[in-house]
Amino acid sequence: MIHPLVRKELREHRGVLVAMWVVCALGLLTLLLASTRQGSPVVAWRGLLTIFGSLLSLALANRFVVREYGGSTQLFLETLPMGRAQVIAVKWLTSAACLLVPMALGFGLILVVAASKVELVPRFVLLLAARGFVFLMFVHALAFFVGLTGRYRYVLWLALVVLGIIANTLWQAPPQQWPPLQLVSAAMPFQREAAPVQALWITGAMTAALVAATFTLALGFQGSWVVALARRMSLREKIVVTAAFISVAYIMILVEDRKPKPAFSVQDGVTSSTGLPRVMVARAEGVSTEAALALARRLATELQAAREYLAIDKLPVVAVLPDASIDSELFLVADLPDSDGVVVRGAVGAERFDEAGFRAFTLGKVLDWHSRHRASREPRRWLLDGFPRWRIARNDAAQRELLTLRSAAALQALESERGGLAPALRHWLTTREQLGDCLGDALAWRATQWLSESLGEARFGQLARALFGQRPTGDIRAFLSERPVDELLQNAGAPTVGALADKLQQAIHAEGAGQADRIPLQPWSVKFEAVPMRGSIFELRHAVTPAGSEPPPPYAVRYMRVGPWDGELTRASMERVDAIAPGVLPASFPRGERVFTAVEMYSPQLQCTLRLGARRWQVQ
Amino acid sequence: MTAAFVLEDVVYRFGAVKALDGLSLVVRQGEVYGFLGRNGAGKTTTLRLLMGILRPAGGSIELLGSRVSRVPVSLKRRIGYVSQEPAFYPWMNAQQLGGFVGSFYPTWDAAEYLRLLRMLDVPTDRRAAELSGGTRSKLGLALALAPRPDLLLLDEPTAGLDPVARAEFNDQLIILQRERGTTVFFSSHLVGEVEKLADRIGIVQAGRTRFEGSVVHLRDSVRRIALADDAVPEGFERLRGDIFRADPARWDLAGSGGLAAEKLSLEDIFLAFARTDRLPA
Repeated sequence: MIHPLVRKELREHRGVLVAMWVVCALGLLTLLLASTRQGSPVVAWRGLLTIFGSLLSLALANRFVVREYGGSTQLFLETLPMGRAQVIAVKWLTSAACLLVPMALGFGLILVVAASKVELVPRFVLLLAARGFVFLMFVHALAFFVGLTGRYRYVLWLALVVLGIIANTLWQAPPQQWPPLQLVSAAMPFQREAAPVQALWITGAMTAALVAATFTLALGFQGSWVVALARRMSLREKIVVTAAFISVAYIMILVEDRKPKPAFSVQDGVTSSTGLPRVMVARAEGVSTEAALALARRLATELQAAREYLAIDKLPVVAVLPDASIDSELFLVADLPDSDGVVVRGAVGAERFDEAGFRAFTLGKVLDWHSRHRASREPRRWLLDGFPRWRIARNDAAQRELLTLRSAAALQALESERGGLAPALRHWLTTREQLGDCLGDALAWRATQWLSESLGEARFGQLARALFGQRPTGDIRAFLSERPVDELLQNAGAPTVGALADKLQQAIHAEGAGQADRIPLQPWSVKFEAVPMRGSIFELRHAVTPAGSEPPPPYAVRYMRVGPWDGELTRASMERVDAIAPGVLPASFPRGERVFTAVEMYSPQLQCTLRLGARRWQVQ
Repeated sequence: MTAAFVLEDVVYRFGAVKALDGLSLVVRQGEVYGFLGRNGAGKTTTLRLLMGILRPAGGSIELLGSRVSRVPVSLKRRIGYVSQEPAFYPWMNAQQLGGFVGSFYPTWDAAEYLRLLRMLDVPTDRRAAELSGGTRSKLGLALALAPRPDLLLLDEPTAGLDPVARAEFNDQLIILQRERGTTVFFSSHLVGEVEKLADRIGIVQAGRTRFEGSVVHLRDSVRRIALADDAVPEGFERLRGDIFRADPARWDLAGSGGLAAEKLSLEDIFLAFARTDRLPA
């Protein structure tokens, strides 16, 4: 009695099954190709499980359950001499087999590919197989159960998504920490010894519970529950469900009392005096307690002044981690998943440490924190880069002079490569990527400075408060209440970004006329070239050629691989190779790889590092 | 004559609603039994209980000689069933359906199935989704008869068919029943159909049996009389208004006593049962 049903299922779904298996096979090949850049072919196993295992489970549940009950053909099965439990069991096991067989074949292929590249010991293989099997069974059991809920299946899936969001935001338990997803975590392909025993057991128990729930639902009240659930939603139900979801979404929006993360704390450091924003500077070699305390006070004072200027209620805890090992011009901000605050790192105490730049960087990060990172979105990012610089330099004539010079150099570089300033401000992240931090910050400062001069104290203050003074809500309402930059500028009486850029360009040209001799020319042409090594593997060669007889100064090559969706590239994430002559980068690149390359060299006139020839391109 | 099945005080509930409220029936082997009732009276529930799709909450069922609380697979194999709206797999044609259904029945007669399809004029190569309602019902009948069942249960098999298709289906059902002598229990709310096919009928109302017997007996039991007052004579049951039910012998006595009783059509009798003012306790 089992065989006819199995045959019927396979025959009914064979077209879709074959199509899905082909998709899985193509997906696996793509994953295996991508895994060459991810350290191990075993990475493809994780992708196969999470992407294609999940998709296949959903498709199978839809075919084996939703279609059967939705089409009421289970009534036909029930009239045959066969038990209802038998029908469900056969369906569950057949669809599980349809999921496991291609996954097992995929796993086998991955092992064959991986055998020549990583060491495959039996324990590691077993571990991978066990994690995959338990995960797949869980996903299958979940999809099967949800499929049985008929017209409420979308509601359940949405409820699961909502649960994930709530767990992430309110309970600090992101879904990737849930036992089933722990089994296929990013570390899975590299965990050769440690078995996630607890996650395996919990996921297994969850699977068993789902199977029990499946049979209870399918057999309860002689199968009438599941038949009732399979009926289409009435208009009234649709209205109720929609209203319920809108209500839940609205409640989630309104619930602001999310569990606050603990403030970041430095174990060993000095703290700014009370009455000022809390700034801690960690103790580090080469930075005396007095110097650290002085830096903390200057930063705290600056933050307090900005707070009063912008009418900000609350500032985050700021922690400074001096780090002599990084470039003196490089400032870093930490990503804090489990605590709250702004943690910045810089070469405090180093010879060429730019404290003014560091303070501006820190203020910028504080403002970004206050805006819940909305200030760093591209349309308004130039204002976030420029405003802190403007604050720091407003009482420092030497700084302003230097920044004016840098901004003139920035405009010169832009005009030689991209044309006007208007597109540069509209596509600020690209502009900044091409100019580098030094010239990018200077140009942003100049635009802010121009705004403050042309608007006057009061209106500029109004604009700054509109931009940075209000802390948006941490939910969808922030999207709804956010005003475009042009609108904010116009509210303050300023021209729109396009008109502002034209006027600024004229102003910089006028200033530059008097100091043309001070703006350093960049008489070098930068060239990157992909040269095939073997097959489709390329090496990248770099060269800086002088226009005249003067040899180029020592330079650094910055490069990194980029994905199609990569946004801002930070200096910290780029590789660096120092060079004094043409050479080859110490890495190989497959055909079609997207890369970012640039050359950086120090300019004594501008007292910072300039970036030349920056671009993203495809190796071929 | 031995019984094909006996239902005694069978109760079935859908939540708080009693679909069957003490239903009792006796269907004899070899007879054609018409089960009449309005929509929602409990006809489909009764058939589903007999098929083992549902289980009773109370009462007893004796089916094909065995007393059962749930219908085992071995008994199910001896029963053919045609549902109201056959939910065949739309992608299967009659031949594939026969192959699929036949594999569940040790007694499946493939040659007989093909003969039935030819006789009932069901195309073998067209998918079920492409068949008309009447042809689907005939296909259901062929599938139900091919295992040579001892009992054939038909749940309003002609509901939704046009009069011509209904007549064709019924004619062929009569031929096949006579050919085999299979017990046929069919539900319907069409009085003419029941009158034409059934040896005996049962009328169900609100989950209870209100009448069981031959069509002739039913005709003789229910009549319209004009009473001078509201008092109901002893041995009579008022079905509705001036329509009363009584043993045929009582009607004869009443006639000889001067009470003018008008005979009714089967349609009117069924309507009187269906619209009964109040059910007897």
